[in-house]
Amino acid sequence: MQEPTFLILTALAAGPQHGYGIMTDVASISAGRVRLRAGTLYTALDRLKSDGSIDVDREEIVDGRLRRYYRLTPSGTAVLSAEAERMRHSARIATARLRKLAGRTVTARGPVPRPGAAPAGGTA
Amino acid sequence: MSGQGDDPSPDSPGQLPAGDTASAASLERRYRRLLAWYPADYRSMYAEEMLGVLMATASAHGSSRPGAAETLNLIGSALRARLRAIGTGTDPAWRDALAVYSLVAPVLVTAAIYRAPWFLDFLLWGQGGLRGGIDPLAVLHIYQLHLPFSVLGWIMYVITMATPMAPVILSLLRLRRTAILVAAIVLSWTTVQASLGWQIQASDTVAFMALLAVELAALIVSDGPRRGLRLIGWRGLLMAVPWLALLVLVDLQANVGYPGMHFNRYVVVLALIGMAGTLASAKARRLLLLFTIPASPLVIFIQRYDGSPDLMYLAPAVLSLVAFFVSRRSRHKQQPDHTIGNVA
Repeated sequence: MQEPTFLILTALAAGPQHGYGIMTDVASISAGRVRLRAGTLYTALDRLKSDGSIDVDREEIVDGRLRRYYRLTPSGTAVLSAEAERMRHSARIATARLRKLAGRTVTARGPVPRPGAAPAGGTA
Repeated sequence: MSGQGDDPSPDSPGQLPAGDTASAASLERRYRRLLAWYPADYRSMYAEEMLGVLMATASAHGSSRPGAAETLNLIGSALRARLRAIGTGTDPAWRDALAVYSLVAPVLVTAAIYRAPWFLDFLLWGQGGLRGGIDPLAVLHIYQLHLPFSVLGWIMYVITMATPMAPVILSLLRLRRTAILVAAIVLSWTTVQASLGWQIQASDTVAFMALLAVELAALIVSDGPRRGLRLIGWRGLLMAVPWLALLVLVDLQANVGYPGMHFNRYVVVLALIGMAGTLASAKARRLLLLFTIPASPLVIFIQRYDGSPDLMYLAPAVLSLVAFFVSRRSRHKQQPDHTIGNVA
């Protein structure tokens, strides 16, 4: 799953939202790293709707403009849940390996000197 | 509602600065022009909604006209929507036929490059060329003999031979978008070459470009070479080899004029009938018909050998249509259709 798709589904996991709401929510979730453009957003929404991952919740007219709210379907919830679990699993492995790597680095360099202790070798 | 960020509230999109209604109207007109790039169905579903989002975004950024990135994003998304509309609106039988085509056509393109007279001449640069009746087996011999004199030819050989196969290899490696991009570049470059009057990689310019164009369409519309491979199956590929080999031999005889070969169009027709008769099963017939699509460019050569240039470019279309109708009929009769082998 591509990151924009994941973020859109995550945005909709908070409840039904319209296009602009999804855009701002995605920017917020990704801490501003991902800023969807309208073309990309609606390409993704159209695909997710075809897949049955999302559906139209309701429509409103605000200031003369159509506003369509989308919601996550049970199928979309399952897809997001599976993807989140997959990412969690990968992150867990990465964290464990990084911890091991850090341990090996410390062992290779020798024990960390205590504060105030003379360094091994004697010269400073 | 979550995710407001620094942008204005989603509850108030589309509000441009007061007193700027003319600018807003102009901006809306520009956006509408960009949205016109989308297919009609897509527009009727999303255009008004997208316009609201675009106007809200412009309002948030204080823009009075669509930015370059926004414009490119809209046009790119619109083109993708159009291509997807073609893909989803296409009969599955066509998509499957095109999937097979996307796998096999590059092999024939490679063969077309190999047999191009200019290319053979180029390889023999400084040796006076080899046209005028040649033993095709001697070509391999000459590569070895004149290698020191045609290093550039060898480099060209490797590049030109590898290029048409690149989309297939990329697709098989699940890099479909890159495969489409490469196929588009190859077609564009060939078009430029042809329009500038340069020699292209094959002697039949129109047939070669048609092959590349259909290959690009096949990559976009169908599920690509992976699906093609699944449809044909390894056994199917093995069954097709003798047929393709026969066509290549006929092509060599017709174009290079190797006197040792005595194949002619009657032999080809008899061979095809014989093969269809021998393999008298639904699977074999479907395989045979599916292979007429990618093999059709070679029929062009047979037609040319026959001296009927007017029919040259009609043959692929007719054969493709036959393959389409037979494939569709088989699909309707036999459900589900996962592989050709399973439905025979």
